[in-house]
Amino acid sequence: MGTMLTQALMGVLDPISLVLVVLGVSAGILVGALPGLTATMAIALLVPFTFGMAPIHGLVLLGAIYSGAIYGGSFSAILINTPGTPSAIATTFDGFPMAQKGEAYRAIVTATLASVFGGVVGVVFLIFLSPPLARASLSFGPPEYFWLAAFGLTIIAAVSPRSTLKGLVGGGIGLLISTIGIAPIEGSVRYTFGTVALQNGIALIPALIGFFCIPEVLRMVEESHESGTVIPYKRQRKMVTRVFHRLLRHPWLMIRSSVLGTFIGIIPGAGGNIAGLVSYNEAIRTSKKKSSFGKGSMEGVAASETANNASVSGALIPMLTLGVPGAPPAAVLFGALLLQGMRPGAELFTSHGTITYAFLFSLILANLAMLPLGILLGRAVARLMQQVRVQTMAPLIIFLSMVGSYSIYNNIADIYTMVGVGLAAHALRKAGFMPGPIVLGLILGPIAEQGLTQSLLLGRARGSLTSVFFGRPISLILIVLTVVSILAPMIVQYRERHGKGGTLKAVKQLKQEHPESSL
Amino acid sequence: MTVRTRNLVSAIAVLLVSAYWFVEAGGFRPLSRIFPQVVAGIVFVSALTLAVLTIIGHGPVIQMAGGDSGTRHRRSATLMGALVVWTVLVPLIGMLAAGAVGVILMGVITFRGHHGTIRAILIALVSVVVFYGLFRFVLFVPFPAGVFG
Repeated sequence: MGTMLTQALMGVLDPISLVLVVLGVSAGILVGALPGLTATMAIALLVPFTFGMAPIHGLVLLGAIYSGAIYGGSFSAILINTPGTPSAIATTFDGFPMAQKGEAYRAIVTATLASVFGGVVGVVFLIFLSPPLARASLSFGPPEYFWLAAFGLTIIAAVSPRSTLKGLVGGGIGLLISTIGIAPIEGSVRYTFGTVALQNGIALIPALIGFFCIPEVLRMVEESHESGTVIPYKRQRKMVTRVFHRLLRHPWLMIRSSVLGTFIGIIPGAGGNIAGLVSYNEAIRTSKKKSSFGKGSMEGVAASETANNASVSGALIPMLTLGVPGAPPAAVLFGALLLQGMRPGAELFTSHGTITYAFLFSLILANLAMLPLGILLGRAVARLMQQVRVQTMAPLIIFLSMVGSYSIYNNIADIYTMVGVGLAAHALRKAGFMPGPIVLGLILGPIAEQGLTQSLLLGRARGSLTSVFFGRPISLILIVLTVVSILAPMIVQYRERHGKGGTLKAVKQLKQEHPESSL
Repeated sequence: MTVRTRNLVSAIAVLLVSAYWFVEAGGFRPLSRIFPQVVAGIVFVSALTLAVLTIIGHGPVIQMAGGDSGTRHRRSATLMGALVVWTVLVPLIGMLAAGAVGVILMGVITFRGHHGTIRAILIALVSVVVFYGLFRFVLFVPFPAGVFG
């Protein structure tokens, strides 16, 4: 173990890794800051580039982009009142009012320090929680994996932003797509329509690029709005120290937001936007100065940014240990791992331990690098936000999507898959079916099918299906969680209908009290 | 198209697809068929619930983008068409030439009426050549060359 950690540390401290961290975080900040470009899109486009790299370098770059992009979303949230990434929604509530009051730099420094803190705490959780969870996954048999997949799908439906039912149908569509190709048991050729290219199933990386890039590009061109006016700002001396001291006076805010962010990130489908909103809600609920929120409260920015950056590591915990991604960018990272021949689970922390720990350590570096890079690049990023119309990047993103899909296996069928999936995802999105649940279904499909069919075989051999599916403690816990995840949204909706609260009561109340604010 | 119509049309489409998935699975071997049939059954029931809820006026709300929907739909349809043309051209004239045609097509649709259209398309074309070169000569990806091969 000691040797593995030393090698991992050496791997992450080698010059190439360090350069990739700086490049990845810088590019991530830019991607996150430009509304329309998302962290998931950037990672999906970069995966084919990393295919030719050493696994350690590829993962370091992707992790740095992911962290940088979630933080970068705060720039547009603060300077133009538009979240650059969905994770920064709650940052707009107080970030933009701060900028309007001439405190844009203070808001950016707050977002930067909070992101660094949340990000580092999240990685610490990731480093300490993942190995024992991965070891625990060794005690999972086929029934546990089946129930785990069922839980993953119901929870993503439960936290779907628009509709639980549509989330459930979306997950189901993903599961149906996952059944295309030769069946894992008994080998029937399914739903290939006579096409040889589909016999191995839908190629994962082209499908991920299709799901996350094409609909975004089509939407950005379709909506084709002008970028908002960026509020200019100047750097001020000693602002970092002043904000740092101010945040030190709110240790519980920072710790609570980090923990909330990490654990919300673990929930499949919840992601940084929910982490930011819940943390912001808690910040209002526990604050003595509730009325300052929504009018430019530094604590509001800190709560949102700490939580959304902590959720990055949270989303990686179930992905690395159980193969269940916590958020769309983690789903693409899952694809990148498979491409490098690494399967999530205990093996990642044993046979591939050096690479995995190097990746985890690099996330700490990436989060620390956000501090100097965010402060130094901030004004340049703000200028680019003013000058670059993201629509001008649309044709290039399409070209990169095609080149990237093709270059993994040098197969033209992968371009057709990517474009077909992308157009279908665009149509589904217009009908209210978001890509996240569909992709989770696509990823969980093989796990669920293998779990189901192997459990059936086990049950037949033992003469009791009930004892196999319902007789093991981990299965029972997962069944309870599955039932809770189905019932919880219904209870929340019922309580909301009867005026008994809801998940973000404080945010809603504030919105009613201050309709003029940016809430 | 209203939110209600969208919900209904999408629910019917999902109903048809899941029904097809279920029936088609009948021809597979027993252990190959069980998972697709279980999933298709669940999706069918969920889509049916969605359709019924929509009909009785309790369907989910879809957030629709603002602005002129007619222009948006036309732009969307044209873009999707351009993307299909671009894809079809790849095996015929090669990745680079198809990329150039695709960029010009999408560029015209995207930037039409905006200031600096030609400049934006030229920048996109140069970027395409740079990324093509990176993949072709640095990462050694053998792209289809089409009639130019």
